[in-house]
Amino acid sequence: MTVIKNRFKIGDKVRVNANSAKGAHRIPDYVKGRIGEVVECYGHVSNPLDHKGVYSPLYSVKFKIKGSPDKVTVDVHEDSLEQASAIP
Amino acid sequence: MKTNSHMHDYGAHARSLDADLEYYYTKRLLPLVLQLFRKRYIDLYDFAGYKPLSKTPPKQKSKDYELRLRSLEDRFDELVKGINRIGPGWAALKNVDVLTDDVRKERGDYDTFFHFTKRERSSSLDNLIQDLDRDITNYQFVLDVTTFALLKNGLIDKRVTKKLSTKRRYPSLLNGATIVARAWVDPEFKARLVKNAREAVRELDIPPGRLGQLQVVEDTEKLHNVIVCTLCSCYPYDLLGNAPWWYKQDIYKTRIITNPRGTLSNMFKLKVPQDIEIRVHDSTSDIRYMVLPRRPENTDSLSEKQLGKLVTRECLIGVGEPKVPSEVALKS
Repeated sequence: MTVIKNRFKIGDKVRVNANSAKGAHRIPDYVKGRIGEVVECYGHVSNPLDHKGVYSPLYSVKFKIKGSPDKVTVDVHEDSLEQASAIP
Repeated sequence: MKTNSHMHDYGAHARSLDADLEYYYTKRLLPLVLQLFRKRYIDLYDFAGYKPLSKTPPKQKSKDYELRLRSLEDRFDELVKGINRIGPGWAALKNVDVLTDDVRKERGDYDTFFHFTKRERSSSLDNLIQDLDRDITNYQFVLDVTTFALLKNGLIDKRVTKKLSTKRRYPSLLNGATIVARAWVDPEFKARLVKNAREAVRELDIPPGRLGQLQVVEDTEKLHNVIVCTLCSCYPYDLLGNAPWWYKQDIYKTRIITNPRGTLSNMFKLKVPQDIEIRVHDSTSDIRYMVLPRRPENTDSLSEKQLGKLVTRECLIGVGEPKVPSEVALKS
C-alpha cells in the first residue's frame, strides 16, 4: 500500500471545497465553502466493510458556530480541502 | 451469500484480522499459559493423554475470498471466546489468583524484553489467508490442550466451561461503562484510550467487532464534547449497542449544530457553564466518537465497578452528566 503524506497539519486553516467531485461525498452543506482549522489528522482510515479502496487522508476540522462561542468539528477528507490563509 | 456482500477490500480485512489475532495470542493466550506454568498450576506432562474437546470446524475450501475470510473470522471468534472462558475476567479460574491486574507487569505486558516477536507476513493476500488459517488452527490447539490440562487438574469445571461457552459479550452500555470507569481510575490507560481507542479497548477484553476506528474525546474543565451525525446516524453500535431514539431525529441533528448550548439546555436540561466551550463532533466519515465524561466529584472512595454504574448512555454522547453516587444503588 502506498503511503501518502498528509498535506495539512494540526493548526492549519483549510477551506472545504464545495465543488469537489472526487473522493468521499459525505460533506454536510453547512460547511461547504467555509474555512476552518485542522484539529486532528487521522491519516488513511481503513474501513473495508464500508467502502472500497482507500480514501484520501481524513482530518477533523473545527468551525465556528455563528452567534455562539461554541464550535463544531466535521471530518473531511483531503480531496475536499484546500489551504486557506485565515478564518474570516 | 454473494449478493449481499459488504466486503470490498479483502487485503485490509485480512490485515485487521491478523492484527486482532496476534493481539489475542501474544497478549492473552501465551502470557496466560506461561503464567500457569510459572505458578505450577499446569505442567507439560499434564498435556499427556490429550483428547480433542471440540470438533474441528470444517475448513472453507472455496476460492471465494469473502467466504474464506468470514470462515476465518468465525473461527477467530471461537478462539477468543475460548480464551475468555479460561482467562481472566471470567469466573472459571476464580480460585486461581494468578490472573489479576497486578500480574500484568510481571507478565511483561509493558516490558519490551518480554514482547513476542511479531510474525512476518506476506503481502500476497493468498499467502496471508493461508497463514491466518494455519495460525488460527495452531492457536486453537494451544488453547485446547491448556483447557484440557486445567480440567484434568480440577482448576476449572466442565459445567462452567460449557455454560460460559454459550455466553457472549453483546455490544451494550456496559462496554462504555467499563471503558469510562477504567479511564477514571487509570491515567495511563486514559492516555492510551485518547490516543488510540480501538487498540486500548482490547485491554479490557472488549472485542472490537466491526467498530472501525473509534475516537474518544475527553471532557475537561474547559471543554464539553457532544456527538452527532448530521448526515445519517453514525454511532459506535458495535461497542455501545443501539443509539437512543432522539439521536436519529432531525430536530436533534439540526439544532445541536446551530445552537448547542440552547439545545442541551432545552432538550436535555443540561446547563453547561459559560466558561466551558462546547465542541460538537459531526461524524461525517469513518471515525466513530464516544465522549469520556469528567469523573463526578466525591467519588474517591468508589471502586472501579461502582464508578461504572454512574455512566449513562446520555453522558457518552455528551447530552448528560454521569450520575452522582446518591442516585444509584452501590452495593459490591
